[in-house]
Amino acid sequence: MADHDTYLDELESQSIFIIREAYWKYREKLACLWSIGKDSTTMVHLLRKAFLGKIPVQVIHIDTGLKFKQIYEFRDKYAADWGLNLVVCRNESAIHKDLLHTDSRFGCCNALKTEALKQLIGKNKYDAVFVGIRRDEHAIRAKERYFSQRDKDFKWNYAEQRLELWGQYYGEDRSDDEHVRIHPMLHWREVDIWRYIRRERLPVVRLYFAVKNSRYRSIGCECCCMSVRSSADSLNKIIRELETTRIAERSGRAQDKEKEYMMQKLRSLGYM
Amino acid sequence: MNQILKVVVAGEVDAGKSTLIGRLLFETGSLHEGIVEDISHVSRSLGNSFEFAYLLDSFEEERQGRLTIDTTQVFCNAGRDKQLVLIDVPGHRELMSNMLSGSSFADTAVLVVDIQRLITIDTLRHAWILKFLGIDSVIVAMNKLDSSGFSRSGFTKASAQVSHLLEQNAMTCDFIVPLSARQGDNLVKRSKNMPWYRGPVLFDLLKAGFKKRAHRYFRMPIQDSYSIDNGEFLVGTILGGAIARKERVYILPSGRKCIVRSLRTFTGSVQRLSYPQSIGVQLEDGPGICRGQVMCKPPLPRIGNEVRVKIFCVSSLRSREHFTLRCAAQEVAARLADIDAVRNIDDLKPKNIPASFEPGDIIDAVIRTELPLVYDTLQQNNSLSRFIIHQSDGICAFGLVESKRA
Repeated sequence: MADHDTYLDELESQSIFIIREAYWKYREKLACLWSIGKDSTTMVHLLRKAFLGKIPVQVIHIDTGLKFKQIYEFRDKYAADWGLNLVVCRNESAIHKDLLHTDSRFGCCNALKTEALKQLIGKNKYDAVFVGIRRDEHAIRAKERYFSQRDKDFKWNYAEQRLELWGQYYGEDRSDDEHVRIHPMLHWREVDIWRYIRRERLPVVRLYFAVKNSRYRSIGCECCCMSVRSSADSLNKIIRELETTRIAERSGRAQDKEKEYMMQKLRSLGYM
Repeated sequence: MNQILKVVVAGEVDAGKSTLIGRLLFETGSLHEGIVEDISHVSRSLGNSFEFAYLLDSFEEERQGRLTIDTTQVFCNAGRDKQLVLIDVPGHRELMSNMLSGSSFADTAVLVVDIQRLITIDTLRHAWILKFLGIDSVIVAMNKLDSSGFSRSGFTKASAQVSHLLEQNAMTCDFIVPLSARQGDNLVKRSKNMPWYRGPVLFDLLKAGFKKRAHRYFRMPIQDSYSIDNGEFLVGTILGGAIARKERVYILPSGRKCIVRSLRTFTGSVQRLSYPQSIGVQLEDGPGICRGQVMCKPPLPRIGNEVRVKIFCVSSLRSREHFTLRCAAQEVAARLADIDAVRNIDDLKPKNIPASFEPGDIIDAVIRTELPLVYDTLQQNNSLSRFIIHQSDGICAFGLVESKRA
């Protein structure tokens, strides 16, 4: 069956439904986080579909200053091509302190990503942000809801998550200093993303394709991403590789390691 | 053919739900290799042998307390183009709402039963919730056969008791599979320890659950309205059927008839769109149509101010006061008109009508809405047959439409 049409249609439609519910509820108080990786690029595409062309909300890139060069080039090209209302968000004071990641990855991720987002949400007064995380990326992310509350300190109260059923996502009891993380991609798997990218002919950063037997499966800051051994230099080869691989997608991401519950701790402080 | 089958794995605390799911992932090759190493490391550091449940119980508190706190969904390979979504839910009574979040919209259920403990009130509670959600037949995974020496007579005796108890509570069990989740007996591979069992293994039973679901009649709850290129487009997700240009549609509950002027996706106009797409529709003579109305084609759903329902309370619900009912994108004020029966999930026994319903109360009632409600019955298998109830402080109950009229 060519590209699992009904299957991909179901995934897509569910995401669009969630995006439109969020927009109905929050209107221009809503923004979209775009890391320029494959998942959030797919999410941006789903927003374009949901709104029948032009995205009516701001698209935020949290820039740590440490991203791959190709990421910046990609961002600038497609932000223009797709007419995005792009906001680049940097925690300048932390960037100038000249980092950290070699001493403490935890501190670095927290300062350059979580803190940067905190500053922007404080300044632009967003009520809600779209975040392109998926359940199958990490066991901690598998516990998420589509609409997930964060208090003013960004804390994720994971022990008391709200009831979420039957397409009734949003709540009424948000106080002014809280914001809501909306996760329209939660139900997608890594291979679904790639099949969808192939079907929709979406562009992605070249780093995902193999050069000299190595490629990135997950991209972020250049200093904390390791490539994996792979000869997959085309979409078809990537999809074939994912159908058989047993290597975890984020195995090259330093902040994900299980042993210290680092992901749980980062996320409880507001990490994406 | 559905490509995704959602399976909720229910059962009481310590019946072995997380272990069963973890082991299934392991045996079907659905795990990444780094994870197995990480889990070995965590298991050792907590002084345990390899713990499959940690694959699901990812929170530090869950691993140290050896219990599932929140619901998790994981993907399990079930052959090319097919995925089982396995939903792990907490067994504790206090964590009922997490169990419900996990179970809504599940296609089928596995009820895990510890052969040493059989059906306890906790297990029956889970069975009741499944039945409430419209799942009235389950596969029973009779677990921990290793603890009873894989005894055939023990299994036969336990099976008879389990099916009898489920029948008494109006549930049927399609199959009872004897297994050991920890050791992997009869999960994916046939057990050498139980040569006497000739029935199917659990994984094969789950795979047989992929089938066609009915989504026949055109329904599109209107979610919003967007202005694009000087046109007004009504947007929503098609719950069933298809729609084409120049066709006539009904806008309910008003009953107004309109002609479809154009159908739009982000790349431009199209002639026809169908389930399960999320679309934009421009109507001839369409002003005044907005969120809350439902676009339909015959046969039309029901419309009315009185609806027979069953309701499950997750927090207190004052029985004589108005509440807000949300069904798809409809939002109406309503109250309970006639209450036929109430029982609590704690003891499952009938009780008198209180001034305020409490968490765990299951109510059979007729609801009266201030404005007409558009709804389908469960056979249509869509969100127009399900609703939630708000009363001042958040969601306090949710419910399903009964097919019998009010």
